Amino acid sequence: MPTRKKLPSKSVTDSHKVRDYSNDPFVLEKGRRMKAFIDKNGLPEAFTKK
Amino acid sequence: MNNDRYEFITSESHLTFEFQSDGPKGKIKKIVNFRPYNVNGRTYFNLAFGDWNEESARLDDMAVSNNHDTSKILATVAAIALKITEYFPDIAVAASGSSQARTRLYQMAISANLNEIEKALDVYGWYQGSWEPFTRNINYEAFSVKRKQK
Repeated sequence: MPTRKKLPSKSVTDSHKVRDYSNDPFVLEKGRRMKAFIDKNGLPEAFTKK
Repeated sequence: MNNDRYEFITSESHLTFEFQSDGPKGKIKKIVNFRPYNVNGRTYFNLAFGDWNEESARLDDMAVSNNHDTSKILATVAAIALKITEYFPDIAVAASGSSQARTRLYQMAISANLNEIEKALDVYGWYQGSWEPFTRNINYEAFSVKRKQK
């Protein structure tokens, strides 16, 4: 799990009622297709510099 | 940023956001999920945006809801992309639609809100075999954004 930054802003309501859809078939399929694309083409070079 | 947008809520992990489209067809639950992946040891999020289909009990993005609120929905998705990069400023977000029409919708979301988005994010589009800084009126195949480094 990536590290999350704590925000002082309360502009978004945090809700335990929103379930995590990370394993929904639609999400998995979209992720699989984009992963194939990113594995082949990479991210923008500007995003990969330390 | 187009201020006419829906309020949204987020999951405990802040990787899923939810809002409701409200129009002539009624209320439609919209979900934006950011699923982490890795490439060359670097994490990025894939953006998945779809409608919650009560009948099939799953998400999809092929439904045409026709709720007469496209610009409001696109402004909401753009606001959510800004929010996720506040929570995870070091992680890029990648997105493309399930079809050319859906990819075009993402492009419209970015274009319509570009002035505000570019204040906070670097925005790239995949065009003719390479990533390039996003420019309006070019039909990109995919998009990637990341919060500007301070």
